[in-house]
Amino acid sequence: MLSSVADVQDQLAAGKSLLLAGEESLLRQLPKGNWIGGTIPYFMDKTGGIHSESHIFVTEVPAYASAVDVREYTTAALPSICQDAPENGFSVLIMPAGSPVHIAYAQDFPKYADAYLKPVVGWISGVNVAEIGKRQPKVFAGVSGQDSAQNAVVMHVTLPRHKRAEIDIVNVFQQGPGDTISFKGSGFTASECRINGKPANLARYITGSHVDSRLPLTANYNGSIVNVSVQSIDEKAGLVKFYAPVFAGVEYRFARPVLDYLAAFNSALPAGGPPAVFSCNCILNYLYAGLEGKRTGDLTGPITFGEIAHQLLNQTLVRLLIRDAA
Amino acid sequence: MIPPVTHPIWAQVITGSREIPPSKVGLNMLIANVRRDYKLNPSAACLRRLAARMHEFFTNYGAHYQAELEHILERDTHA
Repeated sequence: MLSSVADVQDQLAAGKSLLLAGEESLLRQLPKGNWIGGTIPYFMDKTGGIHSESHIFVTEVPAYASAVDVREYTTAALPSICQDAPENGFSVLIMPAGSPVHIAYAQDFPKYADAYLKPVVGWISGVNVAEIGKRQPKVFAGVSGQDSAQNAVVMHVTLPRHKRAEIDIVNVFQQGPGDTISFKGSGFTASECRINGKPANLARYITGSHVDSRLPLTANYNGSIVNVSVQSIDEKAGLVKFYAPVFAGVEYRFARPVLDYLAAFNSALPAGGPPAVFSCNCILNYLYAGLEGKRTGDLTGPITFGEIAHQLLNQTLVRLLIRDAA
Repeated sequence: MIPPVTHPIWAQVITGSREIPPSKVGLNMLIANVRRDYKLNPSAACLRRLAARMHEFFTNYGAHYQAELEHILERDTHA
């Protein structure tokens, strides 16, 4: 929930372990402690989507957690993130948008040791969209009091044996019926591609076929739809930039249009189950769907420049659930 | 009972000749990625490496994926 700096200071003084999101100037006022944080001024609070530069969004790590370990990761150290994670628990990862760790994690996570074996959730920190390119997104490691625009911060949380963490994604987008797009290489940019198996230029395809580029490219991962959002299209240079990498060997299609985001979201949200311990949603959903002042179920959390459910996602709501072990 | 890492069902899952129904997001992503890896590098060494990943997943988390395990083993049971 959104809290004042003084309230967050009190919670840390009480020994709580916290996951924080807020303006850089607010996070700088916090004492050392068991917390990690990232910069962002957009949130989904109990009352709905809100842009706040005066409050910090607080997610409290459950008190039944048996251990909490806050670490910073450089690009070189990041591939060990899953091996460093507890055997039973979860890891929350925050990385600054556009940083070397963001790029490396997005492209290389599927190759990391123990990838997908242990739950990793998190988000990409950002800034006010009016200040993109003018200010640097940051992350904070509470144990050291250090901030960084280059490295990642992680909170590894160990759970008792009778608890089990589970990641869930809520994606309002479905694969559309259009052309199949594939890429020879992986990365955050693409020029040449194959459309239904035939060589083509993606930028010219998008502009020529009047695709709504606010809709993400979607890929079907054994039933889970994974989005890659378009950042920009340079028709003259024939170059498309993405907010997450496309991968060689994956077939993509542009998503089917969503006419009513809130209705689609409420329909996609599973009924029942435990409340989310952590959740985050995408800045593009916030902007394109006009979520300011609107609620998305009971879910709250930061509105982010990228979501992490094991790998980096776009335009997706991520939830971390904790269930009683069977 | 988790089949040993050398059991042919892991190769069948990786090559797509044996389907696993849609499951939780972690397993779905793992399956999609091992299939993609094998598509890009269809070698015996790659298949062995990917089979080890699938085997490790079910060894560690099989208790939470009983339905998926039963589905994987179904054809062997009926054989």
